Amino acid sequence: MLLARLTVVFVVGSFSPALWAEDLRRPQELAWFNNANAQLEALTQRPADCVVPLHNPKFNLGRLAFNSPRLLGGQAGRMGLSCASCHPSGRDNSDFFIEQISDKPGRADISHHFLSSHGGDAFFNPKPIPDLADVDNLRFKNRGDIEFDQLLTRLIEIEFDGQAPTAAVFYGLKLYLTQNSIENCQLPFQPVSRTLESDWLLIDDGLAALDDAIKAGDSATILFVSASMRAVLERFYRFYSINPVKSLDDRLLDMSRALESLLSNTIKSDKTAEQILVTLAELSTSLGKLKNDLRQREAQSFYNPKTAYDYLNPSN
Amino acid sequence: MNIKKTTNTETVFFSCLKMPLTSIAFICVVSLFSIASNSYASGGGGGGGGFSSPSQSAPRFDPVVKYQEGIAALQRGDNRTAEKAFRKVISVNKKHANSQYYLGLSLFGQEKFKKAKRPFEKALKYDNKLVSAHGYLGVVFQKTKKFEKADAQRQQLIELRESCGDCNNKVKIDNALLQIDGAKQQSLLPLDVSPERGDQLYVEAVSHINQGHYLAALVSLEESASVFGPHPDVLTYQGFANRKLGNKAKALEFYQAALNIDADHRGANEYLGEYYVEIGRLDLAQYQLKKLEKICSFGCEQADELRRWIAAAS
Repeated sequence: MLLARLTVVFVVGSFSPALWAEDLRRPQELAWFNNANAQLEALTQRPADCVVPLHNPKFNLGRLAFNSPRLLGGQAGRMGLSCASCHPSGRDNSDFFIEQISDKPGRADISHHFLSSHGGDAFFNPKPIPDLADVDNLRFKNRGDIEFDQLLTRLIEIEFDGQAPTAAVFYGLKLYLTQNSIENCQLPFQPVSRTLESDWLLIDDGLAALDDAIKAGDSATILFVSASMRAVLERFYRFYSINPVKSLDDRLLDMSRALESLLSNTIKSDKTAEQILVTLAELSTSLGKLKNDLRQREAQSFYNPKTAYDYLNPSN
Repeated sequence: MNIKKTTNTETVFFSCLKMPLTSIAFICVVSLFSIASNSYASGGGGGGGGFSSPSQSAPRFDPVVKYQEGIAALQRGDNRTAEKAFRKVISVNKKHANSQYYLGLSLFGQEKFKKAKRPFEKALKYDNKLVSAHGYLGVVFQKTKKFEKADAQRQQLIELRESCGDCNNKVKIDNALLQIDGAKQQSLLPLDVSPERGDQLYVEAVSHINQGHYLAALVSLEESASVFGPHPDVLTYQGFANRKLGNKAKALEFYQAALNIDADHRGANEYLGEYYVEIGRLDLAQYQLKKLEKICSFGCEQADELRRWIAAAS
């Protein structure tokens, strides 16, 4: 694909910003795999989920955080990586590959100095990306241990240069991971379809988490959740970039701005939690309408295996 | 409402949101921004935007494409095409030492020795340690019968050899000296110019930066720049490493060079903002933040980080 683009640039003889503006909008996942088959799978499939959801907004917060690039900092955050990039559905990722960080697909050196400004080592020592649901094969089987807390803190703040998560985010992450066990999975090793619906779950998670954080007056968590929800909206913006519709693009951007506004309103002293919850309910309604409209165009997005395949294999 | 304050940085951020709009309105009221849908851009590394290596984003940037076109032309002996390509690169970034050097080489390859002199001199003006440029400039002076000037190049190489001790450049310096003396023909492309090598050097450089080894980072970045040309990711980190070493004027030059090629480069905009914070120009830092927030319509780490810097300095 890259070669094809280069050829066009050379043949035309001049630089075409529009050409590359298109590519800039492509799903970020494309950069984390080294072949078209793996890219196609990442866009259209995901491992079977082994998480038993809880009716607890902290669980929703944890699942959103696990999928949020805003949890990590440094190079990982700049690349748009989240925990779920290596562990989609909280599992493993046998195709993940970043040049210089991986020696072969499914392996990564997360202690590389490239990723961490204060926790890296001098060795190139990629390791297999573990299946987080395969509890028996993990170092920490009991996720209530203090050692598990320390591991989580180390991963976020040291290995991936993230900011210290709020207490609620940290608790939510633990709750999500605790619910992730291969014993809960009916089809543990079979992939399932990745769809708008499956990714939209994170927006629903965000709304539940926002409601909870607003009621608790936890502004730092509101900040994190709204930033994470904006990152999910960016994902849709990218997934629908192959056949873009301006009105949908505009609404995704409007929703992103609305989330930012919600944040501003939250800290205004003259707004009560009840008033902010009314705004949140309006936002939720708008998001529901947006979801319906996105669903109408799902076949033209990267969620559709045929559309994604045609993009990734332009010569076929 | 009653706000719980969880972390220092977040507290500062929220304090910022409470400030009068007249002072930092553009940070706090993002919803007021009018962001056209086509204003969204990913930006590049040197701090990110979805690309993990310069080779992946290289084709986005005209000077980088032209630079690589020039390298390919030099490799196949097409010096005229190489000359045209490097002239285009230099028209965007005249201070890119490697581009000046390769322009000199492409002219040298056409036996335009007098014309080759100037780009070799400029290459050395911007990077006096570019050993091969000393060698070729010495040969140019020999060929144009400016023997005293050739001797001056020889002398500079000897000084470089003495100051470098057992450095990696020693063999290269000896070869350049032999070249001036007419005893050895230098290879036109002494470096490994594969994109893989360029990426490797870039990752090495960022790893050095993350460890605070800024001089080592600059060495890797210079080599990476010799592969990619004036790539904004590389220029951004050249600025960053120079800033950390206290070379603020040089840092500013690199940031501006990066932004000259990609005005929406997230990393360059972020680090330029940090530079402004460091020199006490919070007004300009806030301008950079405003720009980043416009570039990152869905939020980004670069804007978050610069926001933290400004909040900490306010």
